[in-house]
Amino acid sequence: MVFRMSGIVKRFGGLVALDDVNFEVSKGEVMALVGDNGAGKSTLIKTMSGAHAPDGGTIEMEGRLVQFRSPQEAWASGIATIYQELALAGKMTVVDNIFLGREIKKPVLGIPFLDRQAMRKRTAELLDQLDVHVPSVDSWVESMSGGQRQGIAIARALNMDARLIIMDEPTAALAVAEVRKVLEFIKRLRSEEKSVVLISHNIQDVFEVSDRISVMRHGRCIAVRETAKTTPQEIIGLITGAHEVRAAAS
Amino acid sequence: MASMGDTRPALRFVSPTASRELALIAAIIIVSVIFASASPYFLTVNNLVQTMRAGLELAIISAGMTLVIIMGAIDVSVGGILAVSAIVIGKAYQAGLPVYIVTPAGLMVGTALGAFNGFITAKLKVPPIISTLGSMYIFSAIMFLVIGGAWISGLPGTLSPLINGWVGFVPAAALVIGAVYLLAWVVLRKLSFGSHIYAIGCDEHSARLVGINVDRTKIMTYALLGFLTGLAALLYVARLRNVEINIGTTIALEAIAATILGGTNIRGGVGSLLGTLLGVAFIRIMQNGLVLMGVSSLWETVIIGSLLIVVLTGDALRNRNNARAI
Amino acid sequence: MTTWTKGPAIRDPLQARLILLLGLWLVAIAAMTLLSPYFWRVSTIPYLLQYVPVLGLLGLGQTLVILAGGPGIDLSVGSVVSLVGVAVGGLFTLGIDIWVACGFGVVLGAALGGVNGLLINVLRIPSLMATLATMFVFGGLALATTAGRPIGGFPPEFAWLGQGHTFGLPNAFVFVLLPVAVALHVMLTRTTIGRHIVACGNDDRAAHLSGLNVVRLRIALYALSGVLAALGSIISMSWFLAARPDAGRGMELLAVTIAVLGGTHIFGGTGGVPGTIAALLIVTTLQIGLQLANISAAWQLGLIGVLLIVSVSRLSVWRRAGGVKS
Repeated sequence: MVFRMSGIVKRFGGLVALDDVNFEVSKGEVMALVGDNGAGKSTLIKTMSGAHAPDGGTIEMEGRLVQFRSPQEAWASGIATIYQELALAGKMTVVDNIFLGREIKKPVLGIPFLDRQAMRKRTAELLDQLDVHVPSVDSWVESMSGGQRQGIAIARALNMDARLIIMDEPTAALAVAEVRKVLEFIKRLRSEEKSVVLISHNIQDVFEVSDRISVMRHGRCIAVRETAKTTPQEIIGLITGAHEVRAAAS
Repeated sequence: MASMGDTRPALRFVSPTASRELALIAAIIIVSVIFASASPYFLTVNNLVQTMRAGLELAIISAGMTLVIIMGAIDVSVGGILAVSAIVIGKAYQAGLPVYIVTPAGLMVGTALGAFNGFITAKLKVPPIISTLGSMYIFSAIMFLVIGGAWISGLPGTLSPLINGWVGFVPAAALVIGAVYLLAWVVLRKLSFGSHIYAIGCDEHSARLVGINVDRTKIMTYALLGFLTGLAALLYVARLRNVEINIGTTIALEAIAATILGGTNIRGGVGSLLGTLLGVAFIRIMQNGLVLMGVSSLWETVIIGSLLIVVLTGDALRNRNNARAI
Repeated sequence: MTTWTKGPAIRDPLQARLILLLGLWLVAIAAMTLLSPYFWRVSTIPYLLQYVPVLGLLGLGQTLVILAGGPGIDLSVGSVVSLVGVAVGGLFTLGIDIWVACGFGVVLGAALGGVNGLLINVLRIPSLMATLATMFVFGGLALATTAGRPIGGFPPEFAWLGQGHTFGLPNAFVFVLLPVAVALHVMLTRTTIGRHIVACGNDDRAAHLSGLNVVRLRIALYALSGVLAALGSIISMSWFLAARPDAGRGMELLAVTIAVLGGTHIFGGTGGVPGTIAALLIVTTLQIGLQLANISAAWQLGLIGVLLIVSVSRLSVWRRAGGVKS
């Protein structure tokens, strides 16, 4: 197990968003996280990525107990998150965005100056690797298409050299060709022995790339299935609770 | 949102604020021509250098203000920081302390007050306009506490060579301004700290998600403005040899005006130190020229305010396609 | 961070705040009484209420502008007070009847406020910057056209508003502030327009999509803020029997202070008349009490600054924990 959450609880005021959730990902595995709106998926990954602190439960990374007090600590532990809203700074360049928070520095007389040249070079490499084309690495991110921005966000995560990459609805706003690229990228991450947590509404995408699927409902993780051994119907049934209805009805 | 953004890539590639900087240079040239034709004294070296010296404090403070505004915040309390720093400096001189002790003391006072602003804004989550409004009130109270009654005068002008001196053909004041702006530029463009300032101004929420220590950056940026204000206070005392400061929002508003005129976006994320410097130059030249022309200096605020409106309108019209539809 | 137990807790944070403010007012009165024997002796309530109208009107205008969101703020109200005063005084010296001139002053106030409204809501210039610029322009015009000199010579009967008393209470309070406050409170809490204003402040996108004309509403509120400032100017002139071109200097900050202290959230959506009035009473009590106790004005401001910061930081904590909007 690369990453394991046990008994996670998270409350917001009187609302219990995560109710004793157990969740784990193995090395080199793509774990899909599915569930209806309000099931707690976003809250769970925000807890994983350090944006929220859990009210109860433990988190283990590569066997060690960890506690993230900020997103920065999660980054430092090797967890890279690509949020649904991408978290890109519109009026900054592609290079700046990819290296935001992890700038390459070159100390001169003890003062850490930005090494723009190194960053630009690395940016070009990353974009090349991902087959993302931008007019120029010095142009502002806000002038780019949805697919390009998704690519930049992924490049940023790739730059982190992370062991666990969390992707929240990466294909939601993309054109068909761009979706392909993202799915190929996820497969490539797996081949590099990296772990991926993928949140998606798109059952097709889930079945194409994931190894296992965790289903969340009402703040609980109600089921974990191996993708090869389940069907879309079963998963959808778990998401919507149809099986509960059937069980109650019988 | 898949907008293509600004449709003048060439100029934008150079710098997003280049057009504003050019416009300011043109404006300065135009008013200078007007003033020169109205008064023979205007274009004399003496006059120009004096004007620059008069604008020293505003220039230094505006550099710091630019960083704060790029970060998406604001500080209306710099007048208070200036006053408190100046009084502490005055008292220190009065107590006989030598300049090499008074100088760091003054800088530290400014930095501390600036950090206070940063703390309230970042840690107590008070919106910058409110926090610096409140702190301005608090600083004015502190000023009265420290001053203990009478204005101080007859202070040593030990640092005045920095203002009045010359290095070859270059006035020392120009070198001071140059050094300050160079420092600010390095911080903004060459250090990761500067990157973070831009990021927070662009989208604070995203900056946090990406792992930037937003609170610390805010406090440090405000502290830097405080530091520069302390520096301005040192030079103010050296120039005027007394501490008769009227605490008020004027210098803060002038600094904000210079920054916005210079192309920095009030919403943050975009800015220009060169623009700010040009904005300061413009304001002080206006002041100087109007006086020389015999026009009451009272018209100055009207002119600056009107210019601000023109500039803001221009910005707003240009951003029309990117604006949310409401 | 406090954890809240299940249960009703705070049903209406605005009401809770009002209770807190009234409590604070009593504490302030008690403190002032302790500080100075004169406090109780000077027939205090009417005395207090004399200072209240001008600031109160400005504060109410500010409350509405901030309430409607945007975020909205009007930093130009002090300058509007000055400029309207100068205009009215000017008309009077031209021979126009004083009350007619006042009428014109009110219209001018509406027009000046309307300018703000247009800049902010049509041109989409951020309210802080737009009203900062108009503050420069309006204030500068007031000073420049009068060369800084007050206009006097008002007829003695004009003093009725500012200096007269009815049933022992000051006229400006009874005939202007009280009715205006009541009218605005009724409008906010019991009419459709009031609901619309709160809706705009809470979520202007949603309000717009629901068919509300957000732009027109906000422009109207800025114009109203200008009208209230004009009324304040008239009262101030009646009090001094002169039109001072710097009559409104600094008032905008105090107006924002009492609005925010009174519970109006700086981004809109929450706030109301009672809170602002309570804050007004607190601030005025402190000012008068400290003045009577011979404590310098700076301490008053310092205290107000602390109150401002504390009130806003607590509000955030309340909002987060309670999760309730009024």
